[in-house]
Amino acid sequence: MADLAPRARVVDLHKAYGQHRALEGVNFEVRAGGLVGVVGPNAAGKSTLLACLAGTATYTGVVERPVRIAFLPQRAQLPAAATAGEVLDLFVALHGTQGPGSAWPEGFLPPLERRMGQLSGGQRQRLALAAVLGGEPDLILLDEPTANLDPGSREAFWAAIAAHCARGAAVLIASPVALDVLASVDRVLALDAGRLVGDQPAAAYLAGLEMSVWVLAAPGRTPSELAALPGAVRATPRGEWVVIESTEAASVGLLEALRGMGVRSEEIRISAQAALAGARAVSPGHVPREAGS
Amino acid sequence: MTGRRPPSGLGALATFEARVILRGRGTLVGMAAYGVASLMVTLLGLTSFAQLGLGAVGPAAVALLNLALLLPTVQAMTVGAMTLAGEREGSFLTMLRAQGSSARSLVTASWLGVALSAGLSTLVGFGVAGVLLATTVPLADLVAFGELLVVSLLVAAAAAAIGTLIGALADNRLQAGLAAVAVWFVVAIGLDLLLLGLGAFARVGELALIGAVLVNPLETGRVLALLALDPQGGALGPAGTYVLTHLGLLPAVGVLGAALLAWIGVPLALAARILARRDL
Repeated sequence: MADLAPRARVVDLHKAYGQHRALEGVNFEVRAGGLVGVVGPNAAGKSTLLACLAGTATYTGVVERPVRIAFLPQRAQLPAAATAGEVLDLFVALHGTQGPGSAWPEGFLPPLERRMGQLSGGQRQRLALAAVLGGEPDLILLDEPTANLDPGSREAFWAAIAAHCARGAAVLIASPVALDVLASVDRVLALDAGRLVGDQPAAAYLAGLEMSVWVLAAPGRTPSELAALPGAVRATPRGEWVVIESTEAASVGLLEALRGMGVRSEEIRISAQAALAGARAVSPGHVPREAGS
Repeated sequence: MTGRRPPSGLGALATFEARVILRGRGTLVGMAAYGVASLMVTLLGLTSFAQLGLGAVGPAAVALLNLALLLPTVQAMTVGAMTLAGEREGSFLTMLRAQGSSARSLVTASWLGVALSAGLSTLVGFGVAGVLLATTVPLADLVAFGELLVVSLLVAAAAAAIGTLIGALADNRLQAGLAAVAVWFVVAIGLDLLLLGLGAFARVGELALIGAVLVNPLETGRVLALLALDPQGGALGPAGTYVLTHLGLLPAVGVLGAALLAWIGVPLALAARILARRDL
């Protein structure tokens, strides 16, 4: 790691869209080599925070940032008529330098002569990542970067991020609750309704992360019986499912207990929720996004 | 928290934008439309004069000029507006801005690409007409034809600048496109109608007449081009005639040329200022 100097500092950051307060009094500092996850439910202010850090949104407060910044906003769309090669050439010219993120494994980049409009969502995301990570930025800001990426691409992405951190870049990655992000970062900033409600090591955050384990209702699987299992906090019926609330740390024991009572894998859905009060916005009858089973 | 400032990369940005815009449907449609329309009006102009036993650039060139003030300008305004607004909507500008590109570089690069696109359409139209005219008209007329081309290119560049400003103001690509078409209607038709309407009910003062020419880049270009065709101002309307008689030929050309350059520079400066201060 090159040094531990601060790469970015935020003091009393406020941002409003009309009457809506997107960020309120946010303070933190990110040091060289730091890999930070920015988590929170939808509309918590994650994307806005990254935009303020990047200097592409107006705000009040103090934001100290380095000159060289790489920023990939959520669902960024590169011009459809441009070829992949032209996009990379443009960013190489803008970077002025070639960093560790310019070497990608074979197959990561789409064919360079293909136009952006002809690429799949995953290919476009990989190209956008390659474009912004190609130089030697001191601060890297990525908004849901692993969405649309297959496992192999995620591996290449995390390798590039590790290389950037090793040379001293600070990296902030926003994600609502992507487990691969939470498992990779070393610190978590938790936002809720525009406020910074948590700033802790990733391991501590993960251990306390609330989990919802959805189990298909069947004879012998009443909410009261399921709530009595080890690792379960409470269980409530949701249509044909029973939702058992647990935590990341206790969920392993809970899953073992479920399998012990004969529940098959296909009868289980696991949804990791942001560990924030009020973040469990899963409506009745709605099957959550599957995070594993 | 220091570091070397990355290059703003105007050259790289402009090259990228030019490639993307020239490949776009707006450019291809604009070139085809203006090329075909130019061919038709030139043939019609030459035929009508030939029936009188004459050969001159005048009628064809005036028709060509009117086309140049309409087709490449609507192309420049809409493509200019939709390009910048679309790149902002898709967060591409955000990526470039965070990378260190200044708002001025982004605006200038976008404008250069759009102006090149509209300029190519203009060149295609004038090129088609020029090939036909070269066989039938005197060389001196072709010089005036070249002056028309230069003025048309300036007007297209001004329209591209206005489109870029609209793109900087708009929230999304659709809004930008609609606003660009509306603004084009105003400068192509609306302001003339307004002047006619005002003239019918009130006495239009001298300053208003000069203002009516300078406030509209299409009208500024039209008067400047007609002065190139006929320095006596025989084909000018009331406002243009007033400018010529009040200022004299050379000052009038200077003022009109400066006004056209201002119609390029001021919208671009405003667009850069807006882009630098708004959320991307």
